[in-house]
Amino acid sequence: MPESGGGADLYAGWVDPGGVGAQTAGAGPTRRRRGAHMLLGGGLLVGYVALAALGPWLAPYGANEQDLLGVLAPASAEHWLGTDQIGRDLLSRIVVGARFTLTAALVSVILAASVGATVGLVAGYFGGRIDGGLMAVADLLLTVPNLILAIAIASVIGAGMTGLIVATTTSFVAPVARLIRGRVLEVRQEDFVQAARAVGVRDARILARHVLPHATTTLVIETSLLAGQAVLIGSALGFLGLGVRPPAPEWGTMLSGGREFIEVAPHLVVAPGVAISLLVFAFNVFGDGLRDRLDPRRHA
Amino acid sequence: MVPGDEATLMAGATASQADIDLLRARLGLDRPLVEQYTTRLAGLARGNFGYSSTFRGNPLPHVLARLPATMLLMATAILATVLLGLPAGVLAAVAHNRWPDYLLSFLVVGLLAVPNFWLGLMLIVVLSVERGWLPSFGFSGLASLVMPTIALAARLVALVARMTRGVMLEELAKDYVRTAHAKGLDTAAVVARHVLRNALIPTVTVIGLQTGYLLGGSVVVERLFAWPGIGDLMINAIGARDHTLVQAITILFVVGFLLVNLAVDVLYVLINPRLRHA
Amino acid sequence: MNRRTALALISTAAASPFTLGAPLRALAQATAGRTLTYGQSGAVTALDPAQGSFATYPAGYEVGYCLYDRLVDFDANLRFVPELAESWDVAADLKSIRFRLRRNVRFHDGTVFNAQAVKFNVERMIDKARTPTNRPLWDPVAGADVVDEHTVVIRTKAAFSQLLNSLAHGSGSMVSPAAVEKHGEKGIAQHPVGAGPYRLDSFTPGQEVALRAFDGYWGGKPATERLVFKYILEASTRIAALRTGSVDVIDSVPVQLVAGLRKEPNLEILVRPSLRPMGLAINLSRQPYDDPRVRRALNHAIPVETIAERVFFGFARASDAPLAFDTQGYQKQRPYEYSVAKAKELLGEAGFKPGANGQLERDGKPLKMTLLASEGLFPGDVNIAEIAQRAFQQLGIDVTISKIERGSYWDALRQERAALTFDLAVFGFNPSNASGLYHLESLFKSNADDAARPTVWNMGRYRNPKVDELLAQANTNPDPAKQLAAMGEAQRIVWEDAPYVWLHVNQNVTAVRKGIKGVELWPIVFTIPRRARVEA
Repeated sequence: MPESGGGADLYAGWVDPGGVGAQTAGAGPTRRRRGAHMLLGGGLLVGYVALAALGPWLAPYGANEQDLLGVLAPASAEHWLGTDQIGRDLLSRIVVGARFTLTAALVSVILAASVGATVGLVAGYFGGRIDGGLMAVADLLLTVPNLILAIAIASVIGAGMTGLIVATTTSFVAPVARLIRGRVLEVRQEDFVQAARAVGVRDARILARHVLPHATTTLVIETSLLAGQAVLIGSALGFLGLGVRPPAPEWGTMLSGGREFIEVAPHLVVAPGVAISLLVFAFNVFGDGLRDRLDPRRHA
Repeated sequence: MVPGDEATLMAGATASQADIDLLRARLGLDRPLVEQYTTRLAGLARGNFGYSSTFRGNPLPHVLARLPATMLLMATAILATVLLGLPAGVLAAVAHNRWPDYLLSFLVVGLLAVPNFWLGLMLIVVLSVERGWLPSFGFSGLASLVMPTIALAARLVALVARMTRGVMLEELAKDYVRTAHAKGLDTAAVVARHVLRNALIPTVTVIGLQTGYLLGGSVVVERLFAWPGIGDLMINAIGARDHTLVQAITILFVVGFLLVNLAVDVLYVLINPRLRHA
Repeated sequence: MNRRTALALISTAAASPFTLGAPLRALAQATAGRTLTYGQSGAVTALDPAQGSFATYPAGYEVGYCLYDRLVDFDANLRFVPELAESWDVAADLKSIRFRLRRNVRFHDGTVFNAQAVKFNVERMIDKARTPTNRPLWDPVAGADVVDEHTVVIRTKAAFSQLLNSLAHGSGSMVSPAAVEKHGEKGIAQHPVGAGPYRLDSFTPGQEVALRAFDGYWGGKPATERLVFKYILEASTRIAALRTGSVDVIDSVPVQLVAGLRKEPNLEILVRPSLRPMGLAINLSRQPYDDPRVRRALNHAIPVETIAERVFFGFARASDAPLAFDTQGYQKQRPYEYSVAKAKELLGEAGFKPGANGQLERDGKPLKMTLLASEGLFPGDVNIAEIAQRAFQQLGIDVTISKIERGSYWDALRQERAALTFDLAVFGFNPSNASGLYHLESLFKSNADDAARPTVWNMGRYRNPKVDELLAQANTNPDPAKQLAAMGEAQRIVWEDAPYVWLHVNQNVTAVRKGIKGVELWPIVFTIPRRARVEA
């Protein structure tokens, strides 16, 4: 069965049935162009991280500062992106909002990577019943499409950052675990692992010293590719009203709130959409570049 | 007790505690949790999902009644993926490193980054609000399918186009193609006869891999376009705190997910003879 | 068939849904015609007046008012007009009303409407087990006596000046007793049978209700053959549907769009001030909100005029009484002037001083507030909460907004005292029986037991014996002038006690396609198409 729901990009969860997938890189863009892509994605990401870190200082106004006398104003010299329905500066909200989207995406991806990697390592290394049990749980999770899982979880936990992160994380754990387990199974057969075992090195040490490093590349690539997906899931939850608490300027929530004003103030919908898309673009391009750079199997 | 248990919701806003207790007893919500759970599981086995406050009873028939709309949307999205993604990928490969190729790679990267609900919103603005071309909600004939389909299929079209392009380039570089060229066959004939068949595999793969996306995306897209399917119903159910209904729909999505995956596995074997003996 | 013909045919077939759509639609309207489609902002899930009065508000009521007749109807200005009762006499002690019923009235199932049917329905509404909702409307009612086939007396336990309001309310809808017998107490919600101008055609709960004109209606067959109610949650989608002609009527038009929509030649906009005053209900059972100075300070802190004028584009009016301007019994009070200085002064009097970081504190304890907000239950509810949060923050109060899904909002408000999670909560009460007294009683009459769930909507646990006494007077005094005087005095006291941060009264906006006549927009939020005609 093709692995589904895993990976921002189809290569990440790519099961290669006919031996065609792994070779496609050779037909892709040239290596130099790939480098340029990574630079572009990386550059954008640095920009977003800067916004997330310094947002409140960079923003021309407070994210929640209201001017009730100037609601739904179009772009102007004072408000570069205009104002929203209660007179808040849209640019400032987007800038300050970077931290919500970015934090939610990164935290959930890192959590998913740590939990998923641990589960995958343990399952792949010890095999047997442990493997069977853990993978049964993972497979059970994999039977629920990830956004559906996230929606269901968020609806139980309720609106808020915690719900958002838990929902996104849970929907990513299983694919990561499966992927890492696969890598571990490959590595486990290698001589150096067998040798270490034979001389009686403790399991924990073998896992940390010998097995983990070989799965790291896969993990890093997968993580970077999942990040874009996490942004999309997070903003979809926000859009569906399952996001953060008001008045936090989360982009998906802003988009949803601005929908009613789409005719008189389309900027309320356009700006957060562009912010989300650019971030996803940055993660995708960076992840693709990273994969091409790190994954030796994919070099033509 | 979590606010919003079934009895409270059913009794309505101005019910007193006594009324709620009465209802709770009637619904069996005052029984021990373990008993409630086993009753519920036994019910599930018989197709009874429990008490949905929206439908005042077993939600299954109502959910099933909405299923065709969701399936129709999925089907058109898959159809659009094949009809748009495949030719686009072929075109890009044939026009390798010329403008159609660049345009396509630009589009692919863009479509993969844009959230489907935002794409849908932009379509509504351009096609429905400003021009009044297409109906923007609900199901009212073929025209109403256009925007939800585009919003849902965009990502898949991009992926299929990219995959197809890759596979095509691969194939075009192979010996038999060169031989065919040397024999005087033109590109179109070669592509049609030999290469396209191999390019079908990535299409099926992408659809298989992205079933999860299709199902999840349908919730958002149905919501946006008030499409009368089960995804839209799911969000209504969450707003109404109708957990029974949320659960029923989730189970239905899981079943659908498994079925599509099964279908994809079968398709693989059909398209790709090499797998038949594996 | 040659290849070119085939190609032409295929492309025509493919294009037809687009190109032929408009003429086909026009044709359909001209012939089968007289179908009126209403895109509703709410979903209809049940159509039994006993089950939560049509379960969803206001959508269920709007359908209910077309399916069912009641003894007494409201006209568009909420005055009582005869419907199934031709006339009535109110007893001098306000303890009963004698109704003379219209003759030759039949339910949709062909059974006869008579005094027995009224008795059946009244008893059904009184019975808590069968009708768990709308208790304040029906608890005062004692029963109904059949005098003869066409005369019935409805009695109340004590003097009750609002009996007509209860009967005209949606829950006073007359259901066919035979249909209840046939479909069961629960089944009637999906198979409604009334004596109204329209009978049920098809019903997909949560999605669509279609009604057909009832040939045997006592008032003559209605002008529109079919009424279709479609649930369309998003305002932008509703508007697009109206523009493209998929629907003829929509409700809850966002006010920011009204100016633009008014310029469109094909649309007509109906605007009506509502009877629902918006406010922030204050939880008086928590400190320091038990202190009237703190509550008044909060009232001084919000620029209500500006909100009404700018955020709602003038389609709202700042409140100056606990009741809305058009509610019967409304009496104007002195508005709380917007003054941050005044608010700070009052908080100072209550013992609050700015601490190290500008946060207000008393005895070393910072002033914190949890503000409960719904999403999509009231116009601009989340934005109102955000504005209030900002305003209170500027006084030095630490405010957290807690957003609750639609489905559980009412429940979160009506918790037992110990389980209340809020200090302030966005709330607006719509007196759906059009009685100002019912409004005041629901919100400000002391609860039977403050520790338990609130009796009606006094979730803030406001308690003032003087107000209770005045409300009782208004209910029992047969002299309308004295009723009004008592209500006026009660409003003065409540306004000064400030158990709410009083905000504004919204106007309801409904949009109708040109050529549709007779759609009524009632002040109690409902858009009623039962007398509508399609003229073009």
